[in-house]
Amino acid sequence: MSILLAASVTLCGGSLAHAQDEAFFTSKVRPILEANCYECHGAEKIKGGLTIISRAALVEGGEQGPAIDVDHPGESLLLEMISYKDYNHQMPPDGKLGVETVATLTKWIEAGAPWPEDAEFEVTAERESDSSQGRIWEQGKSHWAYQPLKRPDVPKVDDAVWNANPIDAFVRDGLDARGFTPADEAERGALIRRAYYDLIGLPPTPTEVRAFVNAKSDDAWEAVIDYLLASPQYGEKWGRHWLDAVRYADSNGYERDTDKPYMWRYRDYVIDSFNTDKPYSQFIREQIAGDELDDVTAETIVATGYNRLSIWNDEPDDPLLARYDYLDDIANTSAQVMLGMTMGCARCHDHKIDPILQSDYYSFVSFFDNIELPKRGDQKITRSILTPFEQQVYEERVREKDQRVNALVRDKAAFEKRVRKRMPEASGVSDLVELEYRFYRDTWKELPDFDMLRPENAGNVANNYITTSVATRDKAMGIVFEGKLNVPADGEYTFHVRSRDGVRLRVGDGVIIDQPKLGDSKAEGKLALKTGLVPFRIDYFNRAGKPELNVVWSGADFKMRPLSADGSAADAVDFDTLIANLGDEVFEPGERDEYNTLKSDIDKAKKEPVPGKWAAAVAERGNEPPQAHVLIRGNPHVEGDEVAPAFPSVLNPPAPAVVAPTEDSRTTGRRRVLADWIASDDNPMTARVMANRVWQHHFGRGIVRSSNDFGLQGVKPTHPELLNWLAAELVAVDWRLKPLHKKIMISRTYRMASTVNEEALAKDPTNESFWRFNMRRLTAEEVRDSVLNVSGDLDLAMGGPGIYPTLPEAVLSTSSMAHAIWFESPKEKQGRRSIYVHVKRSMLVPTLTDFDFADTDSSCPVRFSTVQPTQALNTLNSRFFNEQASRFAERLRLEAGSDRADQARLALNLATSRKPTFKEIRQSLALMDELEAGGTPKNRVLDRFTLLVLNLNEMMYLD
Amino acid sequence: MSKRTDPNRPQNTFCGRTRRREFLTTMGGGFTSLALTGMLGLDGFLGSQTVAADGVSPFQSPLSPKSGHLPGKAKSCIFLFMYGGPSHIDTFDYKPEINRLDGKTVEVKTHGRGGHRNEGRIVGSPWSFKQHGESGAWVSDLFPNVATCVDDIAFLKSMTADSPVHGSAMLMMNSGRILSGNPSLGSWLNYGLGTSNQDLPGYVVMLDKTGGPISGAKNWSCGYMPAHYQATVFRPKGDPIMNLKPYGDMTDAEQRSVLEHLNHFNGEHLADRVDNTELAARISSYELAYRMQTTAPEAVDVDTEPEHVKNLYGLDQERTEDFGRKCLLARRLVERGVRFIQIYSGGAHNDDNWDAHGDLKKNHDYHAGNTDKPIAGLLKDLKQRGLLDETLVVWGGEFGRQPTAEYAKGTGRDHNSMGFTMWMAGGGLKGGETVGETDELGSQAVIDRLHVKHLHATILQQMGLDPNGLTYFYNGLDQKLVGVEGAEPIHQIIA
Repeated sequence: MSILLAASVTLCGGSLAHAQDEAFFTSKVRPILEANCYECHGAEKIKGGLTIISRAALVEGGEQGPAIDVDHPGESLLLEMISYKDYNHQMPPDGKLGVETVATLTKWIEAGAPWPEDAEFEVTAERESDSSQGRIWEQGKSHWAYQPLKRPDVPKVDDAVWNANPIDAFVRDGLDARGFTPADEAERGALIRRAYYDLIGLPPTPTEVRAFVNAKSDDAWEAVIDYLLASPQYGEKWGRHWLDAVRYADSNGYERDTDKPYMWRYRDYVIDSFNTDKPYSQFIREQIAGDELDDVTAETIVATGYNRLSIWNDEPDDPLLARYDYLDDIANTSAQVMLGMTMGCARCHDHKIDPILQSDYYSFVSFFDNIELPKRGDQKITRSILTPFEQQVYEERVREKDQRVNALVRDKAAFEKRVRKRMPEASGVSDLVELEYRFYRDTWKELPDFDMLRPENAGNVANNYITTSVATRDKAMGIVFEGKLNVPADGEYTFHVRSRDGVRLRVGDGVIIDQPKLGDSKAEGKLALKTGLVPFRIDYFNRAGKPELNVVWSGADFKMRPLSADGSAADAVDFDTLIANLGDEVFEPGERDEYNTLKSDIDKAKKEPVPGKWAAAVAERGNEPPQAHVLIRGNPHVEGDEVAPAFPSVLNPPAPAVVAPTEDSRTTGRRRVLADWIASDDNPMTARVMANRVWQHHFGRGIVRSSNDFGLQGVKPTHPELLNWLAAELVAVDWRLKPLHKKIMISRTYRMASTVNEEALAKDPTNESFWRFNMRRLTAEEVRDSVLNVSGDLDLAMGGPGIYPTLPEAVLSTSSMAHAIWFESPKEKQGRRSIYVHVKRSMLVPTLTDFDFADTDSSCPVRFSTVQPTQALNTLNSRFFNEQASRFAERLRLEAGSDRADQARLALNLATSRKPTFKEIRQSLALMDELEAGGTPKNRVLDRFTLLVLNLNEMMYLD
Repeated sequence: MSKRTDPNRPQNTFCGRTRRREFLTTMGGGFTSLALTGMLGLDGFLGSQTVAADGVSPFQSPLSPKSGHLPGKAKSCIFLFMYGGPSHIDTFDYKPEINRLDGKTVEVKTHGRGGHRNEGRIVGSPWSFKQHGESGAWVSDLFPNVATCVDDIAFLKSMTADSPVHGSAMLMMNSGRILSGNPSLGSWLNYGLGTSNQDLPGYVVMLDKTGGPISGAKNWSCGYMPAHYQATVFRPKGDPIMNLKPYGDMTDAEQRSVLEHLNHFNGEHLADRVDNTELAARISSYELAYRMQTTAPEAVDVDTEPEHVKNLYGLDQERTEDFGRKCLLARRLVERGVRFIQIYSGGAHNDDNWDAHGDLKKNHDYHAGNTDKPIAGLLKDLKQRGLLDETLVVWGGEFGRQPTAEYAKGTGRDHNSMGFTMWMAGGGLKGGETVGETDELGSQAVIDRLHVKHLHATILQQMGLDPNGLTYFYNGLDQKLVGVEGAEPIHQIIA
């Protein structure tokens, strides 16, 4: 649609009766609009949907509504904007207009914004966005990826060997067309090494290599594949590909980068799902909507941790915006990872490159709309995953435990009461009067000056006893108590204070006790006081432990009378304070032991664990679905049209079968609807996108290289029919990946060598046609795991909370809370596979990041493979590599004996999976001799050689 | 700069040398000879070795020096990051009105960590302001030394940012967005320009001695770009970067032996795979790593500087020694072609940085006192060496502070992202200029309002990059540091 002048003229309604109005507009108003507004709200650029080309355009307004209010001109939005009163509604954006200018515009608008017909701005151009959207939709209709999936016919090629497997027929067909000869079959040694790393991320042992190389049977290759697919390490390797795509991490990324409790269960769930060859369709259903399925189990609840993986801001400035950022992250990631669509680009406006409307985006987000966000300090994302029976047992045990504790507490109370009766001083009437408190919330290392701070709340202490129970939380808090002390007689008095953490006591004019630091303290102060009411004030803070503040005083006529009471008013005297100060004289024989036993029994009973099982899981705000809206320019504070849940319209999808939730449902049931559609056999994207990922991780690149983007801007498939075939095959084998892996790996295409063919290299240097197999470097995890593997330190234990490898001080010190966020694991746990390394978003392990570990904040479809000198510095000089080199040397001494040639042979064999040549052994011995001649201590010579082995290109690269 | 590299473009073949014997003959030079590097050239090492995030391979030489879009005035940029948020109205944005209203409760809209408020008790500035230089710029007595440099400084007094909360505001100042996962300014510069010294990292960060800022490494992340563009954290004393020395008791001679023999092994391996430039690149990366072991410690060895230079930066005084050393080191890195250097004043939490919620005077006296002389020393030293023209110096925090008190008593000010001051110097900018104004209380920018993206656009422009043309294709979009809608540089201060 074009905006033509003529269209708006008829709408002109302002009074044009007076020639002086016209002159005023033309000479005063129009120049202001031209100078200050036209650039962004003119005919070319139309920001916020508003143009100022005519009065009609102003009345029509933009995304935020009409710019001028015809009925009440004084309340026009335009006037509010230029008044600069509200920070979020100010125009022009780069500064307030001058006073006179504002006055002119105000005068004009209050007069009804008269605008002469012949003074309208000229518009000729069509709106760019209108026409380009049309073009995009035209292209989208015929775009290959959006077409229904059909199993294509398999071509027939001349070479019979290449006709046996449809994959080969498709690839060979392409090669024949370009006149290329495919590479020969790879040597068996290279092949088995390739297969091991591809499927389990670890090299074969020398024995396994030997067995395969010497195998006579025809099905030896299939047997290797079957063995690897059945190995539990398969899930660890392929699960990691999925974790890259869904941006897995164990922490929230923002601000203090706190941990996500039990996130690791989701990581283990992914590994298990690959190992059990769960249908991919089911895998999707469980992750998006495992809590809304017909059959909800602990496993499907853990799966919904998928919805908790994103970065999360625990201290957002704009909570509503933060909420939509969170939902956007889930929706955008799901669309890219499962559908190959870059939905996120349509958050603020219709997609500029792909046929995705802004309303499509908000319809898509609305499936996730009711998810409850975590809250600071209470992440609200854990959920019990016990079975109903286990849950019953658990709750019963919790109840029993409470009863046991309560019984003991009652016994102790009875005991205290008995002893208390012998203590006349405990009157229950406090010596303090008019006691007030002020409570502060923050974390200190030292007692702050509370007078500079704003208390969170304040009030009177009813019973006039000092008590930390006035605080609304027991950690990271401070309290000031201020009142008067009733001094019974002139004389000297002693105050005893025990506290955790800092405390300062002022009585009369002076500070009597000053213990401002962290930790437990016990102090006394003496001073002379006169009869009457004396000012009394105590400042206290507690950082992380259990708060404790006990105050007693003694005078000439009384001993150890409490001023504090941590308990109820009726039970005013703190028993521990009393006995701590009065000593054993209050006890009768045997009572001290009785008391100690009671105390330790209570402690024990409280600490006794009741085993539960928790997972990071999704939760919704209830079962009432909220009304979703388009958000104008992505601004959550400006709602546009209402939208209902719907699938992206370019795919001609079915209408979502949204069912009203039942009364007892915990959720709206909407995610289930989305999951079912994504996982349906008819979805044109899902199978293609996943089949492409499987191909990508076998061949180093997808048939579509941009594996998260199958849109108009994505890279075109090099073998579209092969991809369609693979996708159709995936659906046909009930969405199971293992048959697909096997089909691919038994192909001649997969078994090609990586050797060069001059002609093909010249014509197709990037191997678009798969004329050979691409070499690749090991991934970050494979580098670390392989080093641990050759040294003998690799620990194949599976699952559980992440481990924390030792980090250099230089890395720890980059954090704002250096030692509070990394909890180094014991040495013997540090040999676990890299997939089990705790993923702290703001503190990643250098050995992994140096080798291009996935970005943790957004979906990582393809890892980089960089070569940098920092990698060489790490593999040569880091503590990890050098310690591993020494462990490797120890292993060689143990397994190969003391002969250096034998040691070198085994070392090279372990690192490269092949028998070393004589020349290589000679080279190895030459180094060791050279080192020894140069004065290297004998026991270190082998360490240096093993370090060399860990740095070999052949160890790091696969043919 | 183009991200949609044609996948059909020929990759580097190995200088046409594919015959094994010929190759091995050329390789014979051994580790320490430069034969290999010479033969490979920069392209051999850096060329076509990564696959971009969208899966379009290969990438063009990621770090070799590139000419920008525009003739850039500046070759390097030093960003002095005053973490925590220095108060603009107590440093460079003189507001006599707040002293007049000191202690009075007035109607003023503020927005900080304590949320939105409509009134508050004004806290007058405890420091006095004077005009300095020919430009007559106002500077408080927190910065007596910087005050002597005002004629070289362009002040931006109408800065705004999108968040008044540390974590997200830090990310915004460093990466243009309040969400993490985006490349930081230094990454963009290295992506656009490469580095002219292959022996040193192109992007260096130096942290405060109390620790990193909130969100740590997120602040110097390369986000969705490859690892070439991430920052290296430099320490001003000891080993400047990690893993720079042979481990434990290994001697230099031993290391050289290991490397020479490693080179033989890797050469043999390469001989059958000569078309794979990545293998060759990895071989030469060892040579670069070996050289860095010498060049990096030499670069940080500020003790070789003459006394009068050290004193200029305040290395002779205890409280300025730390920041002064970092500033002097920054100059040495600039001389060695490092593209972007960021120095943090302030780390960890609360009063370890400029976050003056409690005692404003104590906090700002401390942090300004530690940095004033070193900053002035840096500007003067760059100028006397003729380096200021080609070095852009940026000063500021993630936001400023409010004119009102945060609490019932005391002088602490809450955060303010609606108006604050930053300044820039050198790099082809006009000295003695001031752009923009806040209102009479300094509570928000009202004239020539600037946003963080304008600051970023100006830095890119002065470094020779078109802020609206520097893009990286990711997630279906041509991503830009200055945001999808683009931003103009601040023309008023460009000479």
